[in-house]
Amino acid sequence: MALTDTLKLSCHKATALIERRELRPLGPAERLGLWMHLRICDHCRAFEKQSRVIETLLLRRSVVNVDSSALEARILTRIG
Amino acid sequence: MPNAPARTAPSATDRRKEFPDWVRAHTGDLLRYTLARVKGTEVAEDIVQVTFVSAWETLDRFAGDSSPRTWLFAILKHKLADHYRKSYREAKAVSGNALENDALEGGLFGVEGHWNAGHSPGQDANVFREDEPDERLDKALRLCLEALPGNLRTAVEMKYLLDHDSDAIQEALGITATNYWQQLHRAKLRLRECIKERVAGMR
Repeated sequence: MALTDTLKLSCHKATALIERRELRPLGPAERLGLWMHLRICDHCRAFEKQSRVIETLLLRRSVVNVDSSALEARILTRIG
Repeated sequence: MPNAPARTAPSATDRRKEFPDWVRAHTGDLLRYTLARVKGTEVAEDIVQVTFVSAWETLDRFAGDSSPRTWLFAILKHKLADHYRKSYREAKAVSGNALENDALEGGLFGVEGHWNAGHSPGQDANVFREDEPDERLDKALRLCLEALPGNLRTAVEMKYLLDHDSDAIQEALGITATNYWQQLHRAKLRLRECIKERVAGMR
């Protein structure tokens, strides 16, 4: 990333970097660019936090009140 | 002093006798986990059944160094990843590569790539509360995942099923890293926007 790009990171790009960081460490210029952007942009700071909340929700997903007895019986027949 | 009987690991035969207990003990949890991650009860039940059948057939390979539950969940995650890989490739074959352009992104960001008024996250802090569990958020997330285009849903699910292993995910889906990151980015922007609207509607 060129220095000028680092200095004028858009919110679109910043949110993309926040997402990518979940999978792979950013390069030094990207890290610096994002850090600078987040210092001045309240909205992307809020996005970063909200993105983390969504990640937590995604991890702990489950559903309640499921009757699995019919499925159990089917599986037991299958392997019986 | 008499020798204590040597403690031997349970044989595969013992495990076959125990297996029905595993089915009774874990089907519910496996099904709840799966229902939260795929569309449709029938699809979810099939995946859980395939998981147990596969476990039964490979029981000889279960080393016993993890609990049956952990082992069953590992197989389940493989089966879920298979499910998403298959549906992703089928969808791609039908629609060509229809991943380009996203009308939503145009609405979220202006020409300079900055947040448009009305979509900026700064005003939604009260929706995404970290401190307390919020059932509305869970419900909104579920509805919003189901509303995602199939390829974006797959992108999100694969991240968790393949433990954030970018290379493995790209290989499974047959796409480039850039393409995959783009899909995750789009999915997250859509999810945030959708959850915010859903939660507002629940008040």
